Amino acid sequence: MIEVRQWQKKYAELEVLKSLNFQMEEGKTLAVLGESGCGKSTLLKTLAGFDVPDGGSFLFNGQNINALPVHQRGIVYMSQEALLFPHLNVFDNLAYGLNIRKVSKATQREKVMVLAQELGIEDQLEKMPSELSGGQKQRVNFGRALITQPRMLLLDEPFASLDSGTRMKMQKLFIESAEKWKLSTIFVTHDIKEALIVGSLWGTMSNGSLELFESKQAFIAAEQSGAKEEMAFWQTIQSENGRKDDE
Amino acid sequence: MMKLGKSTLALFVLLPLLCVIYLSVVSAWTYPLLFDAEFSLKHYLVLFSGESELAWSFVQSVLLSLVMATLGLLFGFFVAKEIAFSKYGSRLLKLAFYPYMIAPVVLGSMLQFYFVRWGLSASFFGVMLAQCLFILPYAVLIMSSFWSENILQLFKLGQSLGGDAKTVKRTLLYPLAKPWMLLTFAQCFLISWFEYGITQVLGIGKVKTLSVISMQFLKEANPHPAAVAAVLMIVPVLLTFIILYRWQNKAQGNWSAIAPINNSLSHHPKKVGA
Repeated sequence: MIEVRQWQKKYAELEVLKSLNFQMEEGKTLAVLGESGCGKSTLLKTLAGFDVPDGGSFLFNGQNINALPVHQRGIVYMSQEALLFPHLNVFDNLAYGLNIRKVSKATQREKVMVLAQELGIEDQLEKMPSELSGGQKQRVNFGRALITQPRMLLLDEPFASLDSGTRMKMQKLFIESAEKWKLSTIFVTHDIKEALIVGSLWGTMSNGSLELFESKQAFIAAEQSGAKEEMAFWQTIQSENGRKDDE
Repeated sequence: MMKLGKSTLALFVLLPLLCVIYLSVVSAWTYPLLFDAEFSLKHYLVLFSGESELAWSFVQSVLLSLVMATLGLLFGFFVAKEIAFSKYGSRLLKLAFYPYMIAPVVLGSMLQFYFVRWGLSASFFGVMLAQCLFILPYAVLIMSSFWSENILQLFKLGQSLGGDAKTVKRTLLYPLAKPWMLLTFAQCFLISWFEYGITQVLGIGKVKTLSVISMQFLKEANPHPAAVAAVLMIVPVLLTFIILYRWQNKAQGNWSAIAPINNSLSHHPKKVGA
């Protein structure tokens, strides 16, 4: 069980995270929806250990990992931009986590080959990051995190900069990988459709507060998720098209 | 037309070099007879006599430039980092331009009073201190282009993937900073190597670096030792450019993020994989 209690963060006088409380089972994906500036990224960065929270505890099966340094948390943070290491080729980027753990070269090769095949980048291993497309970069980024078998993934709008086709493929890949690798993930997005596709738990964030929903239906029904507005919009479009067809 | 242009340019670059080399390997050259001189290596052989002022001057220049380049690299790397992530970063960086508002000779004259009072005048350490005044800010300016938000993000990512600070520095930070560090080292070395004004003013002619001794030979109308000094001055410069050029070619093969060296050596950087 993953549990966050009384999680707070202030920047000067601005309260960015207002005593957040939530819990989730391991192996689930919590999709968090929210507008820009609502505190989503701050939540992820404080959980990753990049930023120190002003209060609260972060528990994994009852063990508080607050005091652990970033590299010992086993939590990988991925941002919107696929930050690949520019001086390493795709293979070395993927193997980075194994390399720093001093895993043998043979095991590195074996694991990278299997993962690259799974991600559909087995023919890109010798390429440098500058030679990859946006989707390929995000696959490598994702694979580099997966290979370390993290206990949690924190994804900060990871597919936001991709075109719609690539984005859909990446969402599918994420769902498959999350299931296969039993990933515990907090997936932050501002896209309602994406939240519904990737999530197994749902929440919305606004003004530093997080609200979790009991089910997908409750999430859709909630005013703040914007799902109703989205559906109303598509229904209007559909009915307009229907009228035109009748005319 | 293009070929003619290139040949003219090559001639323009090579002519002074050839002239200096020619003057260093002849003796008894008299104006205006250009080629009426005796071929002789005696000016070079003097270097190995053990009493040569020029040889000592070369050693002293190499030493001074290496110390300045090392200091510049270390200072630039760490101070630029502090400045880049400081709240007052842009204001602090403007301070680095201050030494360039005053010509080195003028700056030297302004400092002479203090240097004499503190016993730093005419000493190797004094010249080193004076060169620090404009070499260190320059190093900060070069290295500040390396320290960006992106580097910070990559560092955090490395930690997030399981690397402690030391490992991330070894595997990410230093390899990424290498081109900037190399450029900073080379530039600081060259600035110190060619520095004349402040070294002459604060060293009052007693700290005889190659640039100071070359001028001394020229003032004495002694063209052959001056030419040897000039050749000795050119050698490290050529070596620096060869090293930078080789690095650039090697780096282009495997990494595109070599902006500082690309900018300094080529106006048309090749895109990796292009």
